[in-house]
Amino acid sequence: MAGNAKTEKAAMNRRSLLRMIGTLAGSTAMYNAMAELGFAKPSTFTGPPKLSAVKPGTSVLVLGAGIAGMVAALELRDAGYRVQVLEYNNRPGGRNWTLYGGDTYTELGGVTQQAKFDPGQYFNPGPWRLPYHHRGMLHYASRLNVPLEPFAQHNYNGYVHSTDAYGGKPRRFREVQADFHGHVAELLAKCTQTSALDQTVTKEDKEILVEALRTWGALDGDLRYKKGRESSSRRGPAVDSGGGLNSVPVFSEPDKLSGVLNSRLWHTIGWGHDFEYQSPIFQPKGGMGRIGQAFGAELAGLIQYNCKVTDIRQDAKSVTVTYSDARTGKGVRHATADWCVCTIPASILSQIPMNVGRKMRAAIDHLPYMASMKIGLQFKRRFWEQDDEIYGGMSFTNQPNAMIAYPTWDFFSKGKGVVLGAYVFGAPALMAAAKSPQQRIEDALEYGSKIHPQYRREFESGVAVAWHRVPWTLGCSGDWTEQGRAEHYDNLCAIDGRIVLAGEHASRLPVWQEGSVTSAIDAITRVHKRIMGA
Amino acid sequence: MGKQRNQPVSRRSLLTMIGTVAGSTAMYNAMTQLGLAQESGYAGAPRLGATRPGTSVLILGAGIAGMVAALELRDAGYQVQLLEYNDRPGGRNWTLYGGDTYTELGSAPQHIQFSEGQYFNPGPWRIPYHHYGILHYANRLKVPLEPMNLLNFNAYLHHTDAFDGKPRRYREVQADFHGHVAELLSKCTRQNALDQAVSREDREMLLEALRGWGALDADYRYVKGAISSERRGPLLDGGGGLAPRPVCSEPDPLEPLLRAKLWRTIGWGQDYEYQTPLFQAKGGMGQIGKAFGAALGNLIHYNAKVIDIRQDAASVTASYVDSRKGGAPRTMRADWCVCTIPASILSQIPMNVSGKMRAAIDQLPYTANLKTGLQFRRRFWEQDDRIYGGVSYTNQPNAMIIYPMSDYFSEGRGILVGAYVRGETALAGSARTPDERIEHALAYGAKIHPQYRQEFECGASVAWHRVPWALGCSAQWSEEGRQTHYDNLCALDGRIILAGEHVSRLGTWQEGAVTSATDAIIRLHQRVMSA
Repeated sequence: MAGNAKTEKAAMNRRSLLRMIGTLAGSTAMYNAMAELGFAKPSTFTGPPKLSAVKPGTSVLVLGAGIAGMVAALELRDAGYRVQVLEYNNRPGGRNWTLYGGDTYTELGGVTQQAKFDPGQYFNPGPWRLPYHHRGMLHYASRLNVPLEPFAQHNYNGYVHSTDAYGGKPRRFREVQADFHGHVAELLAKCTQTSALDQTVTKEDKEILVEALRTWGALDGDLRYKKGRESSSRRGPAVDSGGGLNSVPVFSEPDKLSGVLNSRLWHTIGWGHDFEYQSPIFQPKGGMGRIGQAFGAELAGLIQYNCKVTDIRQDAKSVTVTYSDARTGKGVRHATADWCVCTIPASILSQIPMNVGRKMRAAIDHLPYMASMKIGLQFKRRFWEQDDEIYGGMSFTNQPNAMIAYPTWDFFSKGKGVVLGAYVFGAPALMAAAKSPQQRIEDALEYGSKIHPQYRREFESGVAVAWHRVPWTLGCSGDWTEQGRAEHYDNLCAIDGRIVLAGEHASRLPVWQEGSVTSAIDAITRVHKRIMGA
Repeated sequence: MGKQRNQPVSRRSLLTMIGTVAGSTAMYNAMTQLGLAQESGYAGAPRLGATRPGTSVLILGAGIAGMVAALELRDAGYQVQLLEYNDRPGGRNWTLYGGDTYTELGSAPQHIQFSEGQYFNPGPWRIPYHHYGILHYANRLKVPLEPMNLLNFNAYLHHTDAFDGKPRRYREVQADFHGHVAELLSKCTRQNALDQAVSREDREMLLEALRGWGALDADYRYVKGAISSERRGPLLDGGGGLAPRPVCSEPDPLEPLLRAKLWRTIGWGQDYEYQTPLFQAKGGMGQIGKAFGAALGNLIHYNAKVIDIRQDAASVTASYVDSRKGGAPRTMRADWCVCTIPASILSQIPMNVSGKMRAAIDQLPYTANLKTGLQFRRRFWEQDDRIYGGVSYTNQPNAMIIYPMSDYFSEGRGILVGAYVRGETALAGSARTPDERIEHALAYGAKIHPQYRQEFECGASVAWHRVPWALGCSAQWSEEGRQTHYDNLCALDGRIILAGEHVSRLGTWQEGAVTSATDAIIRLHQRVMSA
């Protein structure tokens, strides 16, 4: 999100324009102007691309039926292009993928896992969240009539756990957040009574600041954060108020500042407020893979499955792709088209011969992929709801499983549930990937039991997906460094002859499906322009 | 779960001991048994056991409290009858649909014009995850619940005097407030202003925490950049391929933020009752009342206006007339009576109870509250403003705009709660006709959503002070009033016991009605069995 000087200057000019409009015409004009300038919606997605007046018969070969490939295929087809899609897997979606009972998955090394989830239960090994501002994904979900439901990211009653804090006993998120806010507010209120802020805050503003700190931080009349009605109204009481007699609430005791700080549990408070994790967030009913399935249904007949691309070759007039059966490696075939949109992850593409310029090749070869691992665990009953009153959202821990995410669907169901028992990136993910799926599941159970002792008794079955061992991606997503991006990003995106790349790796929203959507739209818009200009 | 000076200390020691001896599973089970894993005053549905055959209870009011009492007493074997003023179950648990009619004191009837599938909850609309009682009954009665996202980071915060009256997004205000607080406190910490309060070792940790939490840069400043934009949202987000690069947004300075008092909503939005997850009944809160009504069938007598309650040594007799047309009083008699009629109404009904209970009833004031529902042709707040559910806040007299928290992305219509106000503002609103209130809500709302006028179709407005059967939203206990009168209001008086949100320490909330009813019938049952 680091804007360079040029964009910032452009932005300033646009902002000045806005200010001018605001001064002249009042707020309604301002609002309309903002909407027109795209500022009211901080997204580069401004609707599906308008690709008009295609030359009849122009053909495009799309490699990969993930989100990027299928967005490209859908829009190109609608515009009148002849489209063909080659896909390695036997299903559409790519990383947009949900595992249901009966599904099998074989990772590098040959281990096959069969998901033994019950009907109605599922696990998303890949993406699982659609933030409200990921307008591209939301657009296609709506267009394809995929029902969406709210996703609960924040659960104030979820646990925050560290093996090194509070004797390893988890705290509730509401307690940690309230205590952190409360202590911060008390400390700053204290500072306003000294001269420390005299340079920064006027006397008049100091009074408002104190008032703000008192209400925001739940301080008492003496500006202290301590046990009582105020603090319990945020962190939750030890015993709630009730009805009739014997209904007096029991206030809870806030943790001391030193304990709060040294627990390091405050880590989860800040980033939970990141733009991507801000409520509301949505999910497709029945699993994220529903979107990939809907794309696949819409593009039926255009997608050829089980196609492993082994060579991509372009000349002055066309692109020819060689592929074989992904299951057997046999049956070499060719597909030819005027243009090619290649959405194969760079991790795979770097191993496929393709005659593009050195710059694009260097960009592809340089891009490392992030490690990530997710484990889905099915339990006999939803003890996290029934015993712990946790309906959706997450618990966080400093153990190597990092988090437990609870199903944000079928709340209050008497039946089973699948919990995300581990979701890790980087080194812990690489270490886990070195273990067998069975061992990874065993580890997740061990860690989870520290927070939910019910784990062992209620566990039924699990699936572990380590993305570095997924044969068709060899990693979770493109892991750009700032330096790598400065050097290679534009070269990765540029049309090379008759080939253009798309996917989350060819976006500034990596990891997210929205990156795939906006990348695909950008790529086909440029290809279309090139064709029309040719 | 905090330390208590008296009994809970020993309970905690016991827990520690169990934990040491038997491992964490035993610990958990012990916690559950001791009631520490669950903080609610609600200990599950009452287990009354069998009653004496033929014992009868008359319940006044088929709101949540009355129907919880009826359901549990019936299940325990009591003979139960309910008298209800309205022609429907639920009381304040109430949803207005198209075709409904509602008549306030002193106003012409409102004929509700909402389209099919649209609804408006004049009363309760939220169920916090820790309101175990009402959740229990919703589940028992198989009322489908859905999550409601009360906190929407993309909703607006608006103050007519701040930022030229232009609304800010919640995410911007929260990020800026947190960021400035973090920067100021970092500054003080580094200037050693906190030496008394924070130890040297903790200082480093505090600085690290403030930087991470407040989205400060490496120099502990809250400034425009990738870090602050990650919280407040960028001006333009990253996109695909060669699309324009992301543009960071400019934080607001501290001073106007403070003066606009937009920070108010950040704090109380994190109150225990508003913490996610919250739930709502699919199709309107009134579905719960309806489900109770269906479960109780003909035990409820509708359109019954109670005009007199009289007890003697052996029984209680209530006199009532038809609430629509009056006519000759009829009577109903039972061994015991659970009266859930709001104190605002009950204070006007002759009833021979003790002076203490009468004083408690008579002194209890009721809060004013006003809600206005507005149906719009299209969901412009979603389509134009990207606000899916949640609440926008304003300093105008409508106070809030509440967006529908179901049917997201629908191409159809939607109903906003265009005003939700309490206290003086509500009283001022109540003095106006429903049409005027709707007009006001439109004028205020248009300041935030210019689309209001063009898209508006119809509305409904309920001023609770003018609702004939409640005369207010809920009981407004003062601390002093509670001290003097609360126990007297709760006490079993002869053969009469009161229940309802007004007889709870969770006033206004339906959970107060549930826990009050549960508490009342347990005490009543004990009395019956010991008689």
